[in-house]
Amino acid sequence: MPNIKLQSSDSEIFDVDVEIAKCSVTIKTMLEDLGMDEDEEEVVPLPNVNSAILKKVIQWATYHKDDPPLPEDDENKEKRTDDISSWDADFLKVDQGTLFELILAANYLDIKGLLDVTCKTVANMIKGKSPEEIRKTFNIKNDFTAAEEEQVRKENEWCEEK
Amino acid sequence: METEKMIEDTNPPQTTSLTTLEGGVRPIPSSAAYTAERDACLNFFSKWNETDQVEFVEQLLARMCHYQHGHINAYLKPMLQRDFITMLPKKGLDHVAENILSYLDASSLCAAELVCREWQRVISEGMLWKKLVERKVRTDSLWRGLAERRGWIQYLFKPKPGCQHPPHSFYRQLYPKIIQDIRSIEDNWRMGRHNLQRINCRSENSKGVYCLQYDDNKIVSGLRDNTIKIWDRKTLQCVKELQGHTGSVLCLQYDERAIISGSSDSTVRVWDVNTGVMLNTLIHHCEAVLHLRFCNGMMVTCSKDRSIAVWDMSSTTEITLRRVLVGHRAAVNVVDFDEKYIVSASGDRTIKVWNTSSCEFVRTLNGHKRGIACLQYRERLVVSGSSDNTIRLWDIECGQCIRVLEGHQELVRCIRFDNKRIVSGAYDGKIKVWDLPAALDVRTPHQDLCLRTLVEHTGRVFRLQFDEFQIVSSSHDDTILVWDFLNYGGQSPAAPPAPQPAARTPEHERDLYD
Repeated sequence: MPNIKLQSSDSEIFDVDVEIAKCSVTIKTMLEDLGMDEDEEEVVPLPNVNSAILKKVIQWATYHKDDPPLPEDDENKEKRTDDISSWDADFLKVDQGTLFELILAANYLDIKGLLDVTCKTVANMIKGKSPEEIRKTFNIKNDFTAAEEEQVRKENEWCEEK
Repeated sequence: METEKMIEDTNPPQTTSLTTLEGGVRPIPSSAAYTAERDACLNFFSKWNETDQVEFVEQLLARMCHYQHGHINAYLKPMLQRDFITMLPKKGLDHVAENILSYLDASSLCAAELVCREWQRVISEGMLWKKLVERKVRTDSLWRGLAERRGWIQYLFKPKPGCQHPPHSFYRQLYPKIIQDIRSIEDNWRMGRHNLQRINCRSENSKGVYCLQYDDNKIVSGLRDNTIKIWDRKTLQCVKELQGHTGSVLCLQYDERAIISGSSDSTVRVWDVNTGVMLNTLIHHCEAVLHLRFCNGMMVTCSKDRSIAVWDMSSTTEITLRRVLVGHRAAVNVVDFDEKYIVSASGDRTIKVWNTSSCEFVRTLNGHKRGIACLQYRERLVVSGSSDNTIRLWDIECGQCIRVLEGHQELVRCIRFDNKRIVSGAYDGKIKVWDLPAALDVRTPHQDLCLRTLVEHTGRVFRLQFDEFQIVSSSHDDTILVWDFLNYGGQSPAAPPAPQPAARTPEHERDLYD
């Protein structure tokens, strides 16, 4: 299997199987656009991803390398968040800072599967919580005035009577 | 360098955490000596690489005691938290923040709106209530039907050319109104509150309507007087009469191309659904054709002659017999099938299951104490109605009877179910509505299963079909009844007038569901 070299923002070089690297649409397009020969010792710079995160991304891509291609977003399907595989769930047991950087990296590298599962993970941290619990979860300050808050609460009252 | 980057995104640690430690780490103002030494340390520290820095801090931590660790922990915790929804838009990734929020259901979205102003802004600018409504309409047939019938589908998906959709606030107010509307429809079903429309077939000689199927535009019915009559769904007028059968029309099904009917004249006939022209006649069964189903190039018919015929249909004119299934010891009253199983029920009190692709017999479902008149099969569930006055629910895979519904006082002649309800019609003219999820839950007491009994027919109920909003039934009394649970009491909320684009939410949509 031919490998390519990926360089993180902090100049660490990662030797990665081309097929695995290509799960990133960004890298795939780069290789095609640059007409990079896979045998050449060229290095693909990734100035937006640091080595710690790149290591995680490669770990994720390696595990998922044989996954069937993702189906096109089926708009007729309900959006679920309870279908995260146990490996992914374990992989994403990280602090919020790391999760945030993984989202940025997945978006920059255009890895749909990773972006989906990280977004779902954040959604699961929000789901079923009260506003105050959400604020605690993400360390958010309530910047509504009492009157504003009361107004929104009133408008959303319909949701509580179940 | 790296360390700077690492904290760039962090929320400022709350300064209050420095004072949380009782008897504090720094009870007295720092001495000049400490300040100088600390700065020297920090100087060294910033020269080291990341690994060394981490190792050094670990060394420090190992030298500290538990209450200090607690203090450090409180200091560190907010540094590891991220307000995703606020921070992603700052990086130009509004769409990612919106994507996260689009996984939320209505109650979580309500809570998210109350978190802080920025979350409220992302929800509003991302049109997340509109997206939630659209997703519901795409995935839920009740929402879909309601969107069309109440007219608010015009505000969803892509606007018509030259039109603009209303602002976010419109959808935020629309959502609870839809919920309210759905609740009142559910209540109408439970309370049996409906608008009744009646088609009197005025058959001349032999009266009665044996079978029917409907859609939004028409009702196709098979009559005892040998005709098929097509009725306009809006005006309830007969728009077409198909003649050809020489016996009562006992069963029929139609799709966008053909009507196929079975009759007591032992034939199956195929008609053009649009023109009404007879296209084909299948002469195979030697007694009345009691029921038929077709789907995806395959048809199954069953007969009083105790046999079941499986047909391949490459077109309306090319229909060839594939296989005859024998095994029942009395008339086969009903068949249903999907790609896995063919299910048949007979006057011999049994339900038989056959493999669809091989046509081999799979198993018999025993339990009914008299002949079986009707059944429907979908996914794993078979629901059957019998001359023993009961309805039975069966798991097709294991052949177990899951539940017996008792309540009808005469033969249960027709039955349909969806995800929420079973609707059955009996020889005493009564239609019963049953709670399907409750019936599938073994803990539900029997008396809670029948939601409603509807009494309007004055003769045997022969056939019915229903959806989220209505039941259409036909009877020996020569009528077709439309039971409308959507527009009870003639209160038909009109389609809301179009709001002015970009204007503040107008008053009118408040009346939408009031």
